[in-house]
Amino acid sequence: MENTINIGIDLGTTNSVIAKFKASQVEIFRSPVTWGQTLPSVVGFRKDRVLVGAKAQELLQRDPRNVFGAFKRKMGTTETYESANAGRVLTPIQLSAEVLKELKTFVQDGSPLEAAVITIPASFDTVQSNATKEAGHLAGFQQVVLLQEPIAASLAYANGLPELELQNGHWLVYDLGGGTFDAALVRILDEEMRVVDHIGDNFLGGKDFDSLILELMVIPQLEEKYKFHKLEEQMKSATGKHNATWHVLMHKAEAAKIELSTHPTADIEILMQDDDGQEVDEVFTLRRTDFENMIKPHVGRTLEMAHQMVQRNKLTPKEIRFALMVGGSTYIPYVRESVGMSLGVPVNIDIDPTTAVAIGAAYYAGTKLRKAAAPAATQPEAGPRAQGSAPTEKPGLRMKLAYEKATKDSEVFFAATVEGEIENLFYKITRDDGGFDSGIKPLQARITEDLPLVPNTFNQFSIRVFDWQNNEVPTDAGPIAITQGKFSIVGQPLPEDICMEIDDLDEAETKLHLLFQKNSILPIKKTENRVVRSTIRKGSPERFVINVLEGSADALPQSNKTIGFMAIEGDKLNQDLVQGADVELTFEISESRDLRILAYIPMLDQEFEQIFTPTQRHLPIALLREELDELARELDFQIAAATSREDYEAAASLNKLKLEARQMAQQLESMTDDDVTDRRYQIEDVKRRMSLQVFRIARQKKLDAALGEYTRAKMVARANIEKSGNAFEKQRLDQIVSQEGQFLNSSPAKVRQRARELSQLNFQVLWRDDEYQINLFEHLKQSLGRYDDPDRAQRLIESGRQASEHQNFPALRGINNQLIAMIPREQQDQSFRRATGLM
Amino acid sequence: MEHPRVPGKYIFLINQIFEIEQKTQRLDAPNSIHRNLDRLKAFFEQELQDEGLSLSYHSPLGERYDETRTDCQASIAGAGLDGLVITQVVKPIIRLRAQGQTFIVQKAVVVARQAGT
Repeated sequence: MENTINIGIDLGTTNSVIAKFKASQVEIFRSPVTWGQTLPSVVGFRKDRVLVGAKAQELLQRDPRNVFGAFKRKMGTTETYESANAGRVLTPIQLSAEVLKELKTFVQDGSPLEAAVITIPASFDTVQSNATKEAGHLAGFQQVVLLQEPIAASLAYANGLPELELQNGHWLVYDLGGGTFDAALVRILDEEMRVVDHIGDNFLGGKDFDSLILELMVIPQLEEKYKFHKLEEQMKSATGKHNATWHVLMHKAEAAKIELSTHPTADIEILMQDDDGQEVDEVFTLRRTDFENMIKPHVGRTLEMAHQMVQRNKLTPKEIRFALMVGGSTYIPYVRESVGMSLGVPVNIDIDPTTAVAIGAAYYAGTKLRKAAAPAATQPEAGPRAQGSAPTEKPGLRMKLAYEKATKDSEVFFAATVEGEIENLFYKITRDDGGFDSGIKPLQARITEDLPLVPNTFNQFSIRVFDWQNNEVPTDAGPIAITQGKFSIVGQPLPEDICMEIDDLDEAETKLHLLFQKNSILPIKKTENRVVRSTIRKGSPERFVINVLEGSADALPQSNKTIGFMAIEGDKLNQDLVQGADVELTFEISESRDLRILAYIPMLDQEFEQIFTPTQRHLPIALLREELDELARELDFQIAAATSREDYEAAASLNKLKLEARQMAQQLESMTDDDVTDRRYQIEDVKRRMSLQVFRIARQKKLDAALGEYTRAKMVARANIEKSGNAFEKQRLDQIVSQEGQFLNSSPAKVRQRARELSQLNFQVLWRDDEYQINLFEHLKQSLGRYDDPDRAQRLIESGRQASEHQNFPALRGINNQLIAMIPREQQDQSFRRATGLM
Repeated sequence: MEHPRVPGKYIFLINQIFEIEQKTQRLDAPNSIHRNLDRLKAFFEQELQDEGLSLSYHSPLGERYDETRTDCQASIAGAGLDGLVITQVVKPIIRLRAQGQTFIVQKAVVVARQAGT
């Protein structure tokens, strides 16, 4: 409903989340910079900017005089925070307002932001609650409705349940986050959900568990095995020798903790030097049981508190319907198990523990009516971001942006002049990939910023202007678009696709494989790995070739221009190159269009390199001869086909082409490989045009055949899948059919590949069918002469008979499987009409 | 624009490649492990394009660090806060190119400290 509040905010001690109710659903907004759903509730003041969230959190331990967190605990107190950088004293309300304002920037879909439901801990008294309300007003929400966090979490769970489901009895909300613990007893009384009692610890959470892993396991083991003096102290002290390692290990400890939620063990790898300079390269394995022993006392404390609360309310476990798990640390299986065991109540893990409170707040907001506009908040005397009056409707600002649009530098100097009323306005510049955020800065008539660029790509930044409550102010500024590296003045786009020719086993000929797409910007480089199709003996004339062509990737190799050709023969090899060996190919095209091909054969540790310049087009006469021979063979084949179907007109025009091809071949006969005239290029040009015409007809025929194969496979697969396919098989069939538009008009190989996929899918369905297994066995019985090992096949057939008679289908399946594996694979027809030797 | 999703298994594999690359830099004996690593990197950059994915990673080691860098999640070692340089990279920045745009799908996890301390 549009006249309801709809916006729900979890203003947490450690993290905050903003969500919206819309059409019976809740959407959680993501940060436009980090794309994360949560915003660390930390505010920092640097020289010229305000930081809210992750970046402020990084500085929290290091600059406590200017970076503030956990101020929610101080709401409603007279405690203040003095920031040297901001040059003034801030209240917890003002800091909370900064977090709320930052959350407002997550909302970019135009949703109204005049009203919000904001959650508060169950322990908040009237003064603290009013302080939260005031923070909301200060952030520009004219209407603020408060909701207790355990209620919000319960609403997230209750939504969608039948109304009576929660009517009778209490439940427990157990909320163990990154840094705090809260427990609350909730019940529905007189149709109203209420917090009956609550308890908590503001200094207990998942971060403590990470430190325990280091303190109780990693550090003692390191001290035992290596030479360290006061390692823990040296790690934890900002000026300590091993302080950087402490930060690295905290990340690793957290990763191990998460891994232990799903695995019995987790490894922590340590790379450092001890005090004697000896290399430490250790892997410590943390077992789940060890971890559980470490956190046992802490989890025990939370359980004691929960017990205490249950007892003082004179409740028995039977009267508590479930314990609803909230907060990231409740992902830990031991926490869940301990809660269930210790309290004797079922554990409810049906909600996302990290976003449940915001989701519940949004559900609640979806039921609360928005009031008519209330008077605007009074601006604080010395707010962190403002001196002046309450927000007024600002006319759109005009901005002139100046910056280099293409550069090779790693950052660009950006300047903008602003026209219009700029007093008490702020701006923020972000890079659209999420890698840069200027933070909130005061808007001036002229602003400047160094914008860091991602190399070799197009970088887009956005500049947004806000009033002191983070309401966005319209400007005429468009996106800031800067290209780094590649699009420099000397760079140029490729006029055509660049492909290499490789063998197509299915078609027994060659196909194009795209290396660089048309319009790619030079210089450009790519490494490809191919496989040798057949063994090349050392010293023999056998070879593989690397043929690089320019022209459409959808065309035929014969119709594109060769721009680089390299042949690697047996006499260049230092030993035999066996079939299936890898060849690593690197293709590099410079800004001046030089093509460099580097072929490395790992098996032989041999490298071959050649550079082709555009002024010296590389077209060996031998290659041209081979291509003309191939064209003649294709023409013969097509003339015979046209004659047999009595299409004499087509046969006549093909004969004409054949005559032309023969004339060209004769001209080539008399040319040497070092011929300096243009004749070879002229011949190649004519050959290409003829090839295009001739091979297109051949391809169409292959495509028609492949389409027939696909249609048949689809029909059979559909019938069987509809009859007895599972959900996955149905989904895969639909997926393939929905992609028909993309592959039906592409290459015959692609169509055939899809036909094969459908046949496999069909086989998968049939394989489960008992009757099919009997028929298959009957068929396999007839193939006795074909098996690799007839004696073993005979024995299997005997066992299969018995399995079939006794209807032992699992055994019959196994026997069929073994018999199929014993049928020798049909040899591929290796008579390629054209081949490169590479697949 | 919707932020494209990248299967976690790919991110896991790229982080492993990065770690192997770090370890090879500590090897004294000559080796050609870099070729295999380059092949793996090329695989993620080029061979997943059918799935609409082109993934690459970047280690910001030695680069300047300040609070505007939202492509890194930093722990700050030492006492100073100005003139920070990235001295250790636990995880690299992983970028996705899709739909003609670049997205950061993993921020680097780094340690930064004041240059020269």
